[in-house]
Amino acid sequence: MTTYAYTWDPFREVESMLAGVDRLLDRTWSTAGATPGVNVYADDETAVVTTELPGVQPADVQVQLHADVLTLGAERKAEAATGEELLAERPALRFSRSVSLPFAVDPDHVEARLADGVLTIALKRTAADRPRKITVNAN
Amino acid sequence: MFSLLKPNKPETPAAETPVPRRSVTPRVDIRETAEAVLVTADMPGVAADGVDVAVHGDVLILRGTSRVKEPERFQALWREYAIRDYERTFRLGHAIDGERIAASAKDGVVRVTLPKRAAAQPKKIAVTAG
Repeated sequence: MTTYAYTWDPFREVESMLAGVDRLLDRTWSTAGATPGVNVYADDETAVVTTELPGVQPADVQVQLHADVLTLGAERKAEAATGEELLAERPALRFSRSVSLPFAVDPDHVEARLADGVLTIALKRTAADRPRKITVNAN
Repeated sequence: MFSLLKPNKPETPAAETPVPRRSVTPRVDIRETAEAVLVTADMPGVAADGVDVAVHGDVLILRGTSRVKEPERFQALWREYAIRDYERTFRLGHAIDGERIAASAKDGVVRVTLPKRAAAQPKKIAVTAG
């Protein structure tokens, strides 16, 4: 199993405690919030990193790749407020995450797409780092 | 928490064995103007065709179906959030005109406009000096 580096975020700890209480009360809140979660998928050739950024414009997202560390930053600008506020649950979204990928990727083949509030980043694994079949010889 | 998925065997591709998704409660902002109540909900993954607004009497049910699917042939290495559909129920006051409710979706944010009945809008009453 590949080990996975994860920068510790105290706000996520608090949020998961609150989520635990919500589960006891049988009410599941959407996780799209101030500290969006990140999913990582991979096969032999490609890695895909996704996160949920509702209401964020592509210009307000930064994606950087340095060696095997992917850094994501995003900010949701506050909308012009009209009328009187009755309920405000949507958090101000502003986050920066570094994701340490478990394999080397080719920085020239990275694609990032933001659609319907979901950021999807596709990264191509370097040829040298792809799993290789090794034939076992009988001896 | 994270979970590891083994890649699906070729005989049962992910697309043929859909798992019903549980709904989560979307976070909303509600603002009120003189003419309408505006509900803004965060529903990442939901496009305009995935929004369902139903009014039953004075109850409003807002549903969003996410069009995001897990990348099929991939193995999930790290999963912090699950792809969900959204549902939330509101009770409308009598001031809302249920016939003229409108909804739109952009960038994963769903906006519902609930116009108030004409009688419920504040009217300015001219005061004449007399």
